Amino acid sequence: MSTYKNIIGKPVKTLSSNLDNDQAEGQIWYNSTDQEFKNVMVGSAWSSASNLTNARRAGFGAGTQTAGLAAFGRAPSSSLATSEEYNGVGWATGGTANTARFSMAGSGTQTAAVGSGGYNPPGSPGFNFAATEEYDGSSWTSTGDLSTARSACAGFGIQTAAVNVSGYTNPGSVTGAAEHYNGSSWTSGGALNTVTQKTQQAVGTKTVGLAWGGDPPGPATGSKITEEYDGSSWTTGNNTNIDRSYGTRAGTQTDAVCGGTYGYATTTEAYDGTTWSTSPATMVSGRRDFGGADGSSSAAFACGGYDGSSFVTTTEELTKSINVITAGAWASSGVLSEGRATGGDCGISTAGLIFGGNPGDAPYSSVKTEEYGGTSWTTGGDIPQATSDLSGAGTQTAALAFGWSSSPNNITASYDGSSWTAVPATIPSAPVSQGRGIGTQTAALMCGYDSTPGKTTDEYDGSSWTSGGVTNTKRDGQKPAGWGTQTAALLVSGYQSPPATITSNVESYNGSAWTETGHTVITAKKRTSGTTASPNTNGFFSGGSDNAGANDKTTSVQLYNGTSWVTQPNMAIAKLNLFGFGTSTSAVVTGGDIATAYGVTTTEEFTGETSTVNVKTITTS
Amino acid sequence: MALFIYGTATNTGKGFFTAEDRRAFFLRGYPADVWVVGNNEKGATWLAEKNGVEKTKAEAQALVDASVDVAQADYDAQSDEYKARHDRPTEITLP
Repeated sequence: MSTYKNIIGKPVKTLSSNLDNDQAEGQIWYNSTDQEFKNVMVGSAWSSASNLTNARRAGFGAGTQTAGLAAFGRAPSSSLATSEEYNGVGWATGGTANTARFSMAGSGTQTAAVGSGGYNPPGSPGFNFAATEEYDGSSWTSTGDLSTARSACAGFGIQTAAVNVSGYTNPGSVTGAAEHYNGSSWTSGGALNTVTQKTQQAVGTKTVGLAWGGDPPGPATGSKITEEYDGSSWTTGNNTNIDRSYGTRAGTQTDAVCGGTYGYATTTEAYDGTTWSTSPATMVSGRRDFGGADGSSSAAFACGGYDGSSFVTTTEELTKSINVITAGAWASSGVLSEGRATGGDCGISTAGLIFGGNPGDAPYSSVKTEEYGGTSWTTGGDIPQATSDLSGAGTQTAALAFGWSSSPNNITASYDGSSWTAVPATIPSAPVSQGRGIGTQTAALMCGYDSTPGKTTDEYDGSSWTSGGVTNTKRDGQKPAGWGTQTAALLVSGYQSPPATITSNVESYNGSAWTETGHTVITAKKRTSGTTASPNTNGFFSGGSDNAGANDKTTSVQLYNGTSWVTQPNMAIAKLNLFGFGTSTSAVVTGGDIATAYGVTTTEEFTGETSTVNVKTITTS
Repeated sequence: MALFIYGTATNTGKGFFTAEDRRAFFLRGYPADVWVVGNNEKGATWLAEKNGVEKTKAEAQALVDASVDVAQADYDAQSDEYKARHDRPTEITLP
C-alpha cells in the first residue's frame, strides 16, 4: 500500500498550529492542538471589489488584477473615450483617448495597451471604426487603421503583436477575418471557421490564441463555439457548456476562464486547452457587455457592464488561491444618543470620540461628547461650551478640541477620557471653524478652515498655538479631509470660495511647509469625514458633497495608498457633514446629514480587505 | 428579473447589516426607512430577517417622496436662520 511518505518522500509533520503562508499549498499536516489532519485548499471565487468611478459597458479590459485597465465603452447617453486604471484595490482616472467608441477589440497591459475598431454613436447603425489607439499608461496615441472597419470584435495579444478578429462590418454584414497588428499597422490573418460577432471573447497571444462564444448572425442567442489560433489559422475546439457572448475573458489558450453571458448568467467556465468545465466560482452579479475584463485564470478582474436595467460600476475579482480573500465592506453599528453633524472627532475604530456638532435645530450646537467602544456609544463629559463646526485631534482618552464656531470662539479644550478642561491657549488666526484637525493632544495641526486668504495653518504643542506653514491652495472650511501627524500630514480636497468650487488638490505637510503632492483625488468633495488615525501615506475620506453650489449627499469612499487615489466600497447611507475616525483598514463614520434630516444618529463601520489561508480539516466522510 | 427589491425596515444599529451582508448583495438606505436591496437570495433573506416589509418600487418611491415632502414642508416653515444653515431637501429618485 502506498503511504504519504512513499508518494511525497517525507512523512506527515505534526504541528501545534496551522501553516499560514504560501508554503502550505499541497501540504498535509497533523494539527496536534486540534487533533486533526489538515491541508490547504486551492479555491477559486469571485469577490466584490471597488466600483468603477463611472458606469461603463462595452469597453475593453487589459492587464492584470493588480494593474488593470478599463477603456472606451458606453455611458447611458454617450460613447466614452475615457479610461480607468485598477491597482487591485480601487480605480483611478486614466488617460482620455482621441475617439470615443464602444464594442471595440483591445488587449495588452495597463501601460501598453492597444484598442481598435468600435462603434459610435449609440443607436446609429453603420458607423464602424477602423481607428487604432495605443495607451502607454498615461496617454493615448492614434496609429494605423484596421484594413476593415468593424465593431463587436474580439482582441488578444500584446501591444506590438495583437489580433483583432471577427465583428460587425456594415449593417447586416459580419466577418470572421482576423487582422494582425505589429505596433504600427495591420495585416491580414486567418479567418474563423464559424463567423461570429457581437463581442466574442478571446485571450492569448498572436500565435497561441483562443476565441469563444459570440453571436452568429441573427438574433442574439450566444454561442458555444471555441476556436484556437496558431498565428495563421483557426482550429475548432470543444464547446463551452453554455452560450457565451458579451462575457468576461482572462487567461491563455491552455488556461482560460470566462464569466457572464448575454442572459446575465453568473456561471464561470474554465478551459484547460481541451475542455471547458464549469467552475465552482460564480459571479456575484449577473451582467453582460462588461466595461472591461482581463487577467489570468487565477487572478482576473471584470468591471462595469449592463445588468438588464442599468449601466453599472460593479467590479469583481476572480481569484484562485490558497488564501480566502474577504473584501472590505461597511456594516451598521450602534446609534448615537444625540444626532449631530459637523463636529469634532478623533480616535480609532475601537476607541473613538466625537464632540460638539450641529443637531439640526436651534441653537444648532451641542455640548455633548460620545465615546465609541467598537460596538456602542456611551456619553462622555460635556465640552466647555456648545458649538458646531469644531475640530479635534488625539485619542479617546487624550483628545483636543478647537475651532469653536460659537462665541467665544477661541476655545481650546483637552479631554482625559472623562472630562474636558479649557486650556489657556488661543489660535492666532481665530476665529477658525469647519477646518480639519490632525495629530495628537500635544502635537496638533489645524488647517483648511475659512480664513483670509484661506491658506493659514496653526500648530499646537500642548500648551500654546503658533502659526504653521501656508498651504499652496486655499480652502474655505466646510470640512476638507485630512489625516496624519503634525509633522507628516495630508490635507485633502475641500471647498473654496469665491467662486464656489471644490478643489481636488492634495497637499502634504512636513511640520514647516506644505507641498502639492500632485496626486489629486478622483472626485473632489467637501464636508467629508477622514480616517483620523491614519498615517499621511494611507487613509480615506467618505461621504460629503461633490457639488460646490449645494449640499448633495454621497456614499462614495476614496483611499490614498501613498501614491494614488482609488475607490473603496461605498457606505450604505449617503451622508454629508459626518463624523469619522479610525484607519484605512478599520474605520467608523457616524452622525451627519442625510437627504431629509439634519443630524442623524446612524453609524457605519468599515473593515478593510483581509486574506487568510484556506485551511481545511481532512475527514473520512 | 428585477435588479433590486424594495422594502422598509428600521435600522436597529449594530448587526442591522453586516459586512458579510454588504459583500453578498447591494444595499442602500433612503429616507422613510426605505432600503434598496440587491435582488438575490441573500438580499431577500436579509430583508425578511430584519422584519422588513417588501414594497414595489412605486410604493417605495412614494414613501421616499412623502418623506421628502414632509421635510420640505418642515423646512419651509422654519426660521430664516434655519434656512440659512440648511438646504431645502431635494427630490430623490430610487434606482
